[in-house]
Amino acid sequence: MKAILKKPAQFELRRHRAEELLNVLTARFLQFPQRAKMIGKIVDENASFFLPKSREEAVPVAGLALREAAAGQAARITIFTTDPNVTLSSKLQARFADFEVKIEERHTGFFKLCLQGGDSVGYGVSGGATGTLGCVVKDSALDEYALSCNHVIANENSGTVHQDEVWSPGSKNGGTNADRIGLLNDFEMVRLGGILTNEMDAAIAKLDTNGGAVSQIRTVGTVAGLDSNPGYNSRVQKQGYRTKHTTGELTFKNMSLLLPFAGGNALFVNQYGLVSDQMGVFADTGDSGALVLNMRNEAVGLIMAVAGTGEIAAANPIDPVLKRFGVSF
Amino acid sequence: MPDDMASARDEAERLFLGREDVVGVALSRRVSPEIVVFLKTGLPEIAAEIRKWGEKTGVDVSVKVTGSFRSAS
Repeated sequence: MKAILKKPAQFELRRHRAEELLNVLTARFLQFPQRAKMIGKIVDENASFFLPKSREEAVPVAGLALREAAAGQAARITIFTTDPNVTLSSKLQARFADFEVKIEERHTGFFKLCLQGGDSVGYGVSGGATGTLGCVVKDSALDEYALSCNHVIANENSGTVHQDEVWSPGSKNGGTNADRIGLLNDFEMVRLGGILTNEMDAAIAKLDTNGGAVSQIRTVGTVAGLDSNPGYNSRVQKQGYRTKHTTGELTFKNMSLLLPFAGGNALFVNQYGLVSDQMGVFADTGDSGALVLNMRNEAVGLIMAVAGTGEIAAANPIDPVLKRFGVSF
Repeated sequence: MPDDMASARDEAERLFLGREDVVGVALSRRVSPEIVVFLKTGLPEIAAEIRKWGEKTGVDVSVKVTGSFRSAS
C-alpha cells in the first residue's frame, strides 16, 4: 500500500521540480532581468549563469514548455530554439542537475502571430511598397493566398509572378526576408495613360504553408460572405494596418478617379467612395489592400487609394476581384 | 438611382474628367441623387463650368475639393 502511495508522490515532486526549473529558465531566457529579480535565491546561486548575460544574448530561445513524453512519465522541459546551431540542453542539464529534470531542445524559429487580414504586408525587397493584407482567400483546390493591392505586393505591374517574395510585415514596417509569407502569384495589370479603364488594383500571393494562416480579419472576425451591391450611405468598416479598425459610410458609387502611378495616371471606374463617420479618416497611407466590409461582416471592397484631403477613401468592389483570381473567403 | 442620373454621370465624366483640376466623378445620394465632381484645388473656372452644365441639363451636380487621389500604401 505504501509503494502505491509513494509513486504518485514522487511523480508530483518531479513535476513540481520541472515547473520550478521552467520558471528559472523562462526568467533567464525570456524575461531577464525583470523576472530574475523575483526568484533571487536561484539567481544568486547561479550568478554566473544569469548576471553576465544581456537580454540580447538570450535571443536563441523562442519559448519553453513542459512535456510528458508518454502518459505517466516524468515531465521534461522542451526549449524551443531560434538557431539550429545552438545547443543548450546538455549545458543546462549539467548546471541544474539538482532538479533531476530532463531538458531537451527543438528548433522552431521565432513564434509568429498567425497571419490574418489587417496585418502589414508588402513587396519583398528592402524599401518595398507596404500596405495591408485584406484577407486570406482560397481557390478551388483550397490553396491559400494573401489578397492585397497590385501596387502593394506586385510593385505596380513590375512584379514577377512565382518569383517575387511577399513579406509580412512589409519592409516599411520592419519586415525582412525572414518574414517571407509566400510568392507573388497573380496580379491584375493596371493600365496606365488615363484613357483605358481599370476596375481593380489587386494581386494575390500564394502562401508558403497551407493551414498556417487564418481566414479572419483582426478586430472584425470571420468574413461572413459577400455584399456585391451595397446601398448608398450603408455603414462599412475596415481593419487596416495603419489606421486599424474604422467605420464609415459608402457615400459614393460609380466613382471614376485618376490615380498617379509610377508610369503615369491610371483611370479607375466603378469604384466605391468611403467617408469616415468618426473623427479622423476612414483609411490612410499603409491601409491599401484592407478589406472593406458591411456591419454584417460581408465583404464589400478592397481599399486602394485616398484623397489628398484624406476625406474619401477609394475601394475596388470586391466581387470582380474575387472572380478575377478565382478565389473565395 | 434613376437611369438618367447614371447617364448624366457618364456625360459629366466624359466632359470633365481629365480636365485641369478634375480628379474624379461619382454618384451620391446624401439627400437626393446627385453627381459629385472631385477637384484637386477647386479651380473657380472649372467649378463654375461644372455648375453651369448642371443648370443647363437640369442635373443636381456639386463640386468637392479633395486634393489628388494617391495610392494608400
